[in-house]
Amino acid sequence: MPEASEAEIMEHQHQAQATTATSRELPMARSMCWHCQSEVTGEYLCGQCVKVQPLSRDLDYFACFQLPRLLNIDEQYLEKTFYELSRTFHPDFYSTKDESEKAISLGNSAFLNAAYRTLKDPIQRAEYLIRLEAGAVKDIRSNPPADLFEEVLELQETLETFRQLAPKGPSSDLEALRKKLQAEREHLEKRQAEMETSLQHKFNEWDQLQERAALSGQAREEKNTILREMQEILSNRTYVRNMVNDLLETMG
Amino acid sequence: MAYSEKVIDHYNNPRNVGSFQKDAEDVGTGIVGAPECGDVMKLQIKVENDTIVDAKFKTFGCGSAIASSSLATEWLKGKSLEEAQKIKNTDIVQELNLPPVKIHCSVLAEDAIKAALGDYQKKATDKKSKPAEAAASS
Amino acid sequence: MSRIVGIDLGTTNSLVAFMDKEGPHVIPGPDGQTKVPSIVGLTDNGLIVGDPAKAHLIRDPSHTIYSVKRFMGKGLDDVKDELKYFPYHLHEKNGVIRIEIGDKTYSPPQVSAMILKELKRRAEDYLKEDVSKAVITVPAYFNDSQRQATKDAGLIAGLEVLRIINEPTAASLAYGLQKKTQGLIAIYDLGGGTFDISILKLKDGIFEVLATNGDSHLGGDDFDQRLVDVMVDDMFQTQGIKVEGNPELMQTVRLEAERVKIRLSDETQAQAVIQLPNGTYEKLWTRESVESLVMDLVERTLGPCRNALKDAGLTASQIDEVVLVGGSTRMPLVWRKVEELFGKTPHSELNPDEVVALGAAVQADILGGHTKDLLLLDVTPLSLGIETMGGVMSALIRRNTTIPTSAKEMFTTYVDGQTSVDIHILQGERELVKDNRSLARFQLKLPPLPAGVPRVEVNFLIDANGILHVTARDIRTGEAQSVQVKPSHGLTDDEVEGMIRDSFQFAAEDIKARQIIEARNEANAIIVATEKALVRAANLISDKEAEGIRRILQQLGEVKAGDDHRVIRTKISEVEKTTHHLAEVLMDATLKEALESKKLSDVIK
Ligand SMILES: Nc1ncnc2c1ncn2[C@@H]1O[C@H](COP(=O)(O)OP(=O)(O)OP(=O)(O)O)[C@@H](O)[C@H]1O
Ligand code: FES
Ligand SMILES: [Mg+2]
Repeated sequence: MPEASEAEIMEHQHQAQATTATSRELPMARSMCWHCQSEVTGEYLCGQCVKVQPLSRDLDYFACFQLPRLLNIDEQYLEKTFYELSRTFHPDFYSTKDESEKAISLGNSAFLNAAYRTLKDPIQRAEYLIRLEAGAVKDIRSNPPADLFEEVLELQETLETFRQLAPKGPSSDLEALRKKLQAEREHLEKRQAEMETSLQHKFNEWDQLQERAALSGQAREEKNTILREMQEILSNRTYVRNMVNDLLETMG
Repeated sequence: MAYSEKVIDHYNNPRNVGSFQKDAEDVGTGIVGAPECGDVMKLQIKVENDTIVDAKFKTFGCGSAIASSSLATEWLKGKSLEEAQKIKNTDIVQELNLPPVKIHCSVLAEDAIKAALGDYQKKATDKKSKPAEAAASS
Repeated sequence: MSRIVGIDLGTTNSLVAFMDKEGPHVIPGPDGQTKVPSIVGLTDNGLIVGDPAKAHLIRDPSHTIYSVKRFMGKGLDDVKDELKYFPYHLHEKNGVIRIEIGDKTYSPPQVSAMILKELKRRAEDYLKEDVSKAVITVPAYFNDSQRQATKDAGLIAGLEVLRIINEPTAASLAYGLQKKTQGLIAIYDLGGGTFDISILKLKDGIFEVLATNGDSHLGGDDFDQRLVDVMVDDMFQTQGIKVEGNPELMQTVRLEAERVKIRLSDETQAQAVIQLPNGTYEKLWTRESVESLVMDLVERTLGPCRNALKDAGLTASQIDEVVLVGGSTRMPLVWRKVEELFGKTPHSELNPDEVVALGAAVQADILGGHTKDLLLLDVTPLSLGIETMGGVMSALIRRNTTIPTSAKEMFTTYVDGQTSVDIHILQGERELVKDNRSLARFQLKLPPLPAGVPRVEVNFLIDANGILHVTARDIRTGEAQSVQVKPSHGLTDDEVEGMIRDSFQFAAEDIKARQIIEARNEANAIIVATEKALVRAANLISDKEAEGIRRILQQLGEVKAGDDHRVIRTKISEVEKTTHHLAEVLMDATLKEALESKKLSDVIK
């Protein structure tokens, strides 16, 4: 069974082709105003009765911000658009409106906030894009990094010894262990930084490919390759990050 | 629905925590990770005559993953290799009553079983195809 | 549309404010004071609130409730450590604390409602119109139950609570509006009972909260308590006096401790003086001695500050301005510690007592549709999750997520024909259920089908008030399902309704108490004024007349202690009649004086 966020994405997924990333307006749930039944073409507010319209269930986060599915994002643009859309949807501006409008404003705001949160953070943005493009993470699951697992197990065991020794007061064993873990931490942090650099490379590759693909049609195979590589870096990064966090927590 | 005592015990007192000698011929080792959260699980089986006689695990992760592996090792003991293949993460989910957000933890346990079985089988076939070498190195 | 007021419902002081074209204003009472002490007294004649109740605190502590905010949204277990300090009995019903006063029992929201009503009345008198809608502030670190309890209090007081907003965020609104600040600001709010830290980004009229943290049980009250503990111990050691078990004396010591503490913000030493039945107790306090006594409490605020910075992804040096809010930030020690942490001098130009109420008024104006250029984007302070097997909480919504926000979870069955799943909702940052706050439970109904077939999607939505709403939808049929959530530490809807009814019923009794207070105040004012007049007019009226006036003043003095406001009123008009001539004489004299001091030409012109 998929997780909540995945379920949400799967719901959104089938419209991947339907939404052109460059369209200037957001897709709304219906083409007719829920209130006065007049036609709405992507406006947030009905042209006739000025009631707020619910966002389409098929809307994805990129389209919500009228962004193409690229991984390098202009953060200022993102923030500016977030503030603009917040001014349109936030419940504060609907407190004197009727219940239906209040509910729509609440739903739209919650969606907008989730979209902003996800796109603002490069890691979440990449993970989201992968799920969006590939349906579910599992389809694109990379090779398990066996050596990394070994490393985790080994480190955890050292940490356990450390935790047992630490309360017994200072000793030469403890000191040696501390040194070892310290070195390990530096090493892991360096690795984390390297991973971030290679992720950035993948971001660039993806964006270039997307731009080319926009001209020359689909390049599914190539895209999948990049997505898979990205997924691999991301999941390896999770293991490394966990190790670093555990180290920090144990050693203060 | 009340949780059964037995099941809660898998959280509080996980069974079969530990390790076997990894390169022993009768041992299969599966080490897997969950990329969603970065948790890692090692699960090992000891096999005699195509039957799992013992199982151990080490899990560095959330409580549900620990309980899942504890339960999995209990289930593995006494099963034939073929029966072991049939253990599904949904069985674990059901037994432990895992909520949706914790499903991947049970997937981790299933993956670990598969990996351990695979490792053992690989060792077994390698041994058959290169009996002389195996004998020489032991 | 009727006006919406902003209310700061504080642990120790509450205020009400409104906004007009010139900006937000705090509404003063008849005496010009803007703060209403959050104290409620139950007299034989009904309820009294604010300053009169503060006076009542020493006379009749077991019928006077203070710091009720500490009990909002809580069970008895949450406050067991401080029970001994409170002069009244508490018990718990349905997870909610109940306060026993005489033969009556009140829940904390009912007591808060009494304070809210007082503020409502104050606003109505001042604005000369009905007030029925309000924005009420709560500490940012308040959990769902505490917010809900505050909303209930509003309802019981006859107020439609349009929004619950966080105190530091409210402060930032008032501050940002006045100072036209842009950039990253930290609001450090240490009041009487709670501590909050919020980090915000202010840009083009948007107030975006990046992170918030705090301690909903740390404030000036705790500082006072430290001083009280020392003095109580000291009184026993030196004079053999047992303060515990003597609620009147305990309250006297507490108020004196607070007075000394406040004094020491301006001075380096202060004398505590406590009247005892036979003699006095005195103790000289120095600023250093108090500082070392409360040091650990002040330092306890620094951890949350660091966590908030970390969650916001910032370092202390990136913060452009630090703003101090709340009475306890007047302590030099607090100043120093905040300055050390952020490496810059904190701002406190705005009145730290009023800035939260002012901000609430601004938010009220936004909701009313008048202020259109400002928008607050707040966050939920605590992670929200559900209980999973083994007593572990799994988070669905992380702390510091911008609200409104929602999370969906799909539930199904593992046994054929299973018809329900129990769901336990929690809030907190710890791994184990028992270390987190239980919010509510509900039973999700599922259609009796083979295992795995039912699919019910539950939506957990935190609205702009930071309050949770749960809805469910059967995915197979698309039908919405009603969810009956039972709060762990909250009043049920029925209970709240009953309390609203009660509150109307008690209103008549309360009016009586109020009328007495007003008559007494008036009597006091007349006595003071007439005595002054007698001094000034010593040579202008006969001794006999003066004697007559003195006699009737004394009668008024005696009558005002009684509890029939009509008798006081009658006496007041008698005094007015008797002093009629005196007033005329004085008026003449004043006129003459005024003329004499001017040249003739000035007057004629
Ligand atoms: N000059 C001062 N020096 C030290 N403490 C002071 C001073 N003035 C007021 N206080 C303390 O400030 C507290 C009251 O502050 P404030 O009115 O901001 O709190 P509140 O809003 O009622 O409480 P909260 O916000 O925690 O609910 C009291 O504990 C009081 O003793
Ligand atoms: S959360 Fe990682 S395995 Fe459960
Ligand atoms: Mg306050």
